[in-house]
Amino acid sequence: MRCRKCRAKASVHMRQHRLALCKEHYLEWIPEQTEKVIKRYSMFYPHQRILVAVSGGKDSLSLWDILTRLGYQAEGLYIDLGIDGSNQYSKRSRASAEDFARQRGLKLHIIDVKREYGHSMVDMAMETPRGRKKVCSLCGLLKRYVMNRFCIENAYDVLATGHNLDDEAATLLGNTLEWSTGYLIRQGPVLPASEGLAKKVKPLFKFYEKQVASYAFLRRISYITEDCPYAEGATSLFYKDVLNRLEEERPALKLSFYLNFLRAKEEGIFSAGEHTWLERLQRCPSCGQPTTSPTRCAFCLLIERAGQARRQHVN
Amino acid sequence: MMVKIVFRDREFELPGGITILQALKMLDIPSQTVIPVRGDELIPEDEPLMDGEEIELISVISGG
Repeated sequence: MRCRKCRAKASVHMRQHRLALCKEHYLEWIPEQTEKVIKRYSMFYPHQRILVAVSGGKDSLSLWDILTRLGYQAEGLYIDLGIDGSNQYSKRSRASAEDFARQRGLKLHIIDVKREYGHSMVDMAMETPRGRKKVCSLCGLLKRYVMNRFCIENAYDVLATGHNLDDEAATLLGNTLEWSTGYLIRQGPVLPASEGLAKKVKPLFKFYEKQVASYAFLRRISYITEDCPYAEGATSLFYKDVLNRLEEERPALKLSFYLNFLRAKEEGIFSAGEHTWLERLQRCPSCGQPTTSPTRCAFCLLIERAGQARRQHVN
Repeated sequence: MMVKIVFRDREFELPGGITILQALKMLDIPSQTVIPVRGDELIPEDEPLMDGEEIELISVISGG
């Protein structure tokens, strides 16, 4: 197979696009396509300050690499959740993020959850019913809270995450199977800013996970390849597997599944519900962050319960 | 002669001359979930594999 641009031997064949490219042209194509998405969805502009949520994995590091190559002012935020396990997950992922930033002279901010809030994520999981049941749900809650707060308090214009098409399609499949209309309303490549909530964008959302991994490999980005020890059996991985097996039979199915959902949203199938969700937002009386809860936000309740559980252990 | 394929610390031996796509089908691995590499090169899915060579499959799936 030959590169469509230069006829050299192709390195990457994207069946969903019917496109084959050599290494050199693939490494140009990915940033070009990212820039098109940034402009098409008005994600951000060259004069704005971008905070990239960095996990140490291929997606977030590739995103940071691409944004800096495109000339954007992008700083990173790594959240140390204190996940050890057999593979020292947090230590190794943090080292990947730190090495990446140091090698490129980029600014990386680090928030150590245990130091900042008194409990690591694993401590909280073990001391609360929600966490004992499903550690992953706690991880999402913590990261969303910390990222939003840091972004707002430090006046970044936008928070960028490395979600790829597989992430988005798996989430969409789960939300659709459950008919979680509240989540479907908010799912998309851009979540606009509102009172207390930072604007959130996903510039890599049109790329398959394999495309991002190919970019990271060809760009020689060193990233953590081990899985989080708590990810085993996660529902999102099951949905990804289902979609990949469907894609095997019907190339481009993941892409059309997600893009047609976005088109339906643009045509207004959720417009009434979106308005309702925004109206329900209010300030948490404890920390001041936005929440749809009638009392304190889920994060503050979590911290309080973890503290209570610890005091009971001590007594 | 055979082709050696390494995936998640496991080794598989398959007949030379088959393509990556054929190899993945034989191993029941969806092609979207791995990138096939030879040293520092990505291997196109339609490229025939040569007898005696060693290919690594890198898992691309992450999340939780």
